[in-house]
Amino acid sequence: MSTQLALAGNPNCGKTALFNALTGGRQKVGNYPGVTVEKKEGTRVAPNGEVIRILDLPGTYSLDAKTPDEEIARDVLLGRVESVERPDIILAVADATALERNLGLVLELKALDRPMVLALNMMDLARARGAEIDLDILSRELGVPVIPTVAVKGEGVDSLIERALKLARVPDVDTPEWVTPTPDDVRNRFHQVDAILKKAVRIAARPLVWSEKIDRVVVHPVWGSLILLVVLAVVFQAIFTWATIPSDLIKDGVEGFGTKVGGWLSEGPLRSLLVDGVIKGVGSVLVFMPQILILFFFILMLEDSGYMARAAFLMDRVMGKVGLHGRAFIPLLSSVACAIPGIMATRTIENKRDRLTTILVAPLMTCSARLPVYALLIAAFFPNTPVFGPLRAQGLVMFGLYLAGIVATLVMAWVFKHTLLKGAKPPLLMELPSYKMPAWRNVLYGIRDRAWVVIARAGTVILTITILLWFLASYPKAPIGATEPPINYSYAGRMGHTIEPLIKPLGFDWRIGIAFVPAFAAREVMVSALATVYAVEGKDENSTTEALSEILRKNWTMATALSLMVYFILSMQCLSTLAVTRRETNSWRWPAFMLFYMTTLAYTASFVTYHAAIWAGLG
Amino acid sequence: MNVQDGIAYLIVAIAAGITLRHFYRKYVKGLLANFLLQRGKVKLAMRIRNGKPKDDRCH
Repeated sequence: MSTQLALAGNPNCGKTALFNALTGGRQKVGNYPGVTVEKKEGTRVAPNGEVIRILDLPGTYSLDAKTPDEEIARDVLLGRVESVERPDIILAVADATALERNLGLVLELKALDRPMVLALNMMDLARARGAEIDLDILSRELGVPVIPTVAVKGEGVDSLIERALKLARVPDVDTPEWVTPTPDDVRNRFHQVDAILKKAVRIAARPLVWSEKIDRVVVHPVWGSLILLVVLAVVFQAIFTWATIPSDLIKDGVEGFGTKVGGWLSEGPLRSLLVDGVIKGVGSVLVFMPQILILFFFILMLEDSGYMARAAFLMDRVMGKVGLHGRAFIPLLSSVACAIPGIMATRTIENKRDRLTTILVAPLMTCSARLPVYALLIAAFFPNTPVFGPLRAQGLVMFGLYLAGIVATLVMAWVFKHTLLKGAKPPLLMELPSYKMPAWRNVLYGIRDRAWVVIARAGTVILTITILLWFLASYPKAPIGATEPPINYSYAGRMGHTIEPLIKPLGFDWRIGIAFVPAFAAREVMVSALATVYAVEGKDENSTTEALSEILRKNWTMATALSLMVYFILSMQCLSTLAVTRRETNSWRWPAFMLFYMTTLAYTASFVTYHAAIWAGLG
Repeated sequence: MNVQDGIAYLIVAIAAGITLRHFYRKYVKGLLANFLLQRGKVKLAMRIRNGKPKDDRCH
């Protein structure tokens, strides 16, 4: 069996950057068995040709775990997690600019009596802030080898691995018991850290005066909130502006490919399946990949630079007013990518009522699967006219939709915390990491992973559902002498017409009704389903090559588009979210309640929006 | 039924199979295994749950 290394350290010590530098981003993400804590595993080929497995453990301040993430980090190190081997070597990671805080965990790790190397990370920042650390003394005092590293630049990574592999292995005799430290133990550890620092640190890193100066503005209740609004507006503007060229290229590629495939085959069902179903349907989702990647680019940049923690700090004031726990920010922020990791991340909230409130409102945050639907409707119904400076109408509408999701989340949290799930709000204690230049490697790996998710989804769930939808929209064929469009005789057509009376008050027709059903599997399927339905329904050649946004502009009113946007902000249009809610709450009651309240809310708001828009002359 | 019809039906049948398998593995398997476990059918439940733990995100 190959050697397994585990990276352990405080949050924000550069552990993930070191993991990326060690593995080159070749990693596998999964869950630890029995729990929904993310497991990141990668490999590296050692100079002797051995393939080493590297595990990135969740960040923790102490082995005396308080949350499931921290419990997993401790249990893996103790070899207590089923089907996860106890690591052969511990790679402890400490932030060289904050040794006082980081060494407590290093001492706890040392006490586990496993082979261990300490990576003293962010050494460049420590040196730049005037720190002088005697590595030999530090190593002697800790009793472990100490290797200076700058993970974001890949410095010291080879020496770290080389030194780690030289350590003698300790055979696993049995699984050690974990003894919770007493207050005296904790005090003694702090004293020990002080004593080590007195000997090993000749000059401590200067405090970051400029970082504090920036924070005086960035976390200021008024200026900070204004900056946050501007940052978000710029992000959503960039989603439209930057994505134009790559989106157009993908669109042209998809259309060209469709025309080519259409030319190879004679008129018939296979041609229709490939051109109207597969290429048109899957292509219509792929077109929005640049928008999703640009959104993630900004999220990763803001996270890596340290700004996201400030945004969390600012949002805590607002969240506190509606009764949400400060720890709810990370689950809600994760829900911008996907509600599922967001709901899973609520496990860090100890209070059951606070956790349930966060779970119930997390799907209201705008997830990336909604982005293609929004982008399609905005491109179809809103002109890209300049509004103020570089800000344009389309970007502002997108910003408004995301903001509406946040407002809905906060309002519903307030409702739950004042009715069903009453309870006091505990204070938030969080670390604000120092500002730094985002590491390009981390950002690029993050974008690459997201691109893969989009492509994999397009090639699996969206592809298969599109094929099935094409079949349902094409069969049974229209009888000879039929007067109506063939799709009206199909299974999907009949299903759409059955649903229509229910959704007509919202301004939706049977075609939207058809698209709603498969969109339950994945929200963005709404786009591919509409593309397929309109392509199958299209009688002339133009309608199959026309862009979906143009088709919608011709067939829908602004009132319908606004109503659908509102419906998508509020509705529970995701089977996976319901499944994960069931698992996390261990009951069917809460997912059923979630489905009921979100559908009722979406239906009512959509109804009001549609009729208000008609009244305003947009119908 | 001509060749085009035949190939189209085959593709649709494969897509239906994949979708059903995906649906079963993602939503039915866990529930079924739990149901069997509660009724003491441990061996059968374990056989159903033999898959490796997977990443739960929507991809």
